[in-house]
Parts: sequence; structure tokens; C-alpha cells
Amino acid sequence: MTASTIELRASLEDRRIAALAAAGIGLTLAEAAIPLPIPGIKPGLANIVTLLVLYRFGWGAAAWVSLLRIVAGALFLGTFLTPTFVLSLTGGLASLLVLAAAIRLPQAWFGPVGLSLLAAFVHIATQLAVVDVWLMPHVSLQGLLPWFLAAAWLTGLANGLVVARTMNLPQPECRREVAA
Amino acid sequence: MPFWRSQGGISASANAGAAGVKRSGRSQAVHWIYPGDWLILSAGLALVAGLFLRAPAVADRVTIKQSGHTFLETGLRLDRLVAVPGPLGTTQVEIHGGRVRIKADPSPRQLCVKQGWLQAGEAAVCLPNRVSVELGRAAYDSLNY
Repeated sequence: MTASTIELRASLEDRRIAALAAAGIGLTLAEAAIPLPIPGIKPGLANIVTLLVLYRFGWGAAAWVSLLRIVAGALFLGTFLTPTFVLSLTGGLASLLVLAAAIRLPQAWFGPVGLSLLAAFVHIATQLAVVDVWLMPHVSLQGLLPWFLAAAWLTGLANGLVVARTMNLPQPECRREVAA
Repeated sequence: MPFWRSQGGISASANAGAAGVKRSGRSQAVHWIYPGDWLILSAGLALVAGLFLRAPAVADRVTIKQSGHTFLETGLRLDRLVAVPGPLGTTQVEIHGGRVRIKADPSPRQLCVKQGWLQAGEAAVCLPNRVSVELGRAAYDSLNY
């Protein structure tokens, strides 16, 4: 018998998506380690990566990076296929859909901050809808809605500013990667 | 371009242009927010503020007691008038529009009536007629907290 070798050829784009998804996973794990006073509210730092990828490499790459990050992040945190994962996935998918539309808005008028805010709002709204319909249908979440939306406003603004700042920086790392 | 030449050689604005950002790299945070972004920001803020103002009271548990015994425990969702009998006569408790108050009471000084609509956590006590109304916090189940 001859040993057969299965060779997976990873294109440059594959490697790039893997590296960016790894950055997102790193941020997800880091923010999971931050103790937060209110359950259910977290900064969503990984969305910074999603937005940067969206601007730099397009929506397809952003969708790959975001979904890989959600699945792999859940595997790392041990929440894969739990309600937490479902919430994360539905929120992520809804955000991606909104971003697909929002990136077509005139770029001179709508920048990363606006997109980040839209994504954050849609993310939490979808999650609350899923909780309301599926997880806790008998509990009224109306009293919590303004708090969650206020948190989404703040984190969306903060993440958007980080994205805007990062996009304005010279980025030697990226060039090094392309050159390599 | 080799990366080592980009350390100071390429201007931030040229790089930002490639990324789809029109402002210069050394700009203030204000320049990172575009006109449409301000629109989205203010719309979001208005939505949040509106929700806070319109949000139903977190306290929505009304407990009416007569002589220390619970006469009625109810929520604020249904508008109604509850008549509570006491030693002096009937105390009228009104639930309307998500609020509760003692509308009428036979006691001489009318203290509990003058108290008006109750805030969350408040209680109105009509001592002469031995009626009290408490507006308490809704009980959350252990799934939530």
C-alpha cells in the first residue's frame, strides 16, 4: 500500500481569512474574560475585525471571518450549539445582512461609525427577538429593551471609532503580509 | 512597496484614501464620523431616549392590604377601580395607565389620597381605614437573575 497524502492548498485569501478570523477569535476570548456587571451586555470587540475586513476585503470575506469567529469562538468557550451560540449566530447573521446593505450607502456620507452602530443595533434587536420568541416567550423583555439598546449605542459608537482610527493609520503589517 | 519604506514615507492620508476613508489620518475623532453617521447616531439616541421615556415601569406589582392581610395582588396592565372595604367605609384604589393611586378614602385627613400616583417602591397607607397599597418590583424568575 502506498501512503496517500491529502494536500489542502490554502490560497493567500484563505490564509488571510484565517488570520483575520483568528484575530476576531482572540478578541472574543479576551472580552469573555472581562467581568461585566450586567449579564448579556458585552462590547462586541470582534465586530471591529468584521468591519475592517468589510472595508478592506469586501462583504464575502467579512462574512467568512465573522461566521468562522462565531463558530470557533463558541468552540473555545464551550458554548457551541447552546442557546448562547444560537444568539450569537443569529445576531451575527442579521448584522452581516444589514452591513451588506449599508456598505452600498454613499461612502462620503456613511462611514464605519454609522455602519458599526447599525450592526450593533440589529445585533441586539435580533438577539432580543430570538429570546422573546424562542427562549423566554412568557417573560416580557420590554423593561430591559432600552438598556440593551443604550449599551448597543455606546459599544457601536466605540467600536466604530476604533475602526475609523485603525483605517486612518498606516498599516505596515498588511503590506508585509502581501509582500510575503 | 516594501514595508520598511512605509514607516514614515507614505502619508496616512494616502493610505486612508485606499481604504475608502477620505479624511487625513491626523484628524480628530470628529472627522471620523461622517454626516450620515451623525444622522444614525442621533436617530439611535432618539430611539433609546424614547424607549426610556415610554418604557413600562419596572415596578408593576400592586399589593393592596386590608388590616394587614393581602386583599388583592395584581399588575398595572389593566385599568380598573378596586373597592376595598374597611372599618370606616370603602377605599377606592384606581389603576390607570400603568399607575396606581388611592382615589377616594373615608379617612378624615385624606393623607393617602393626597399622596397621588405612587412611584415604584412607594406605599400609600390609609391608617384609619386600615388599607395600604404598595407598588413593588416585579418578581423575576431565577432564569433571568
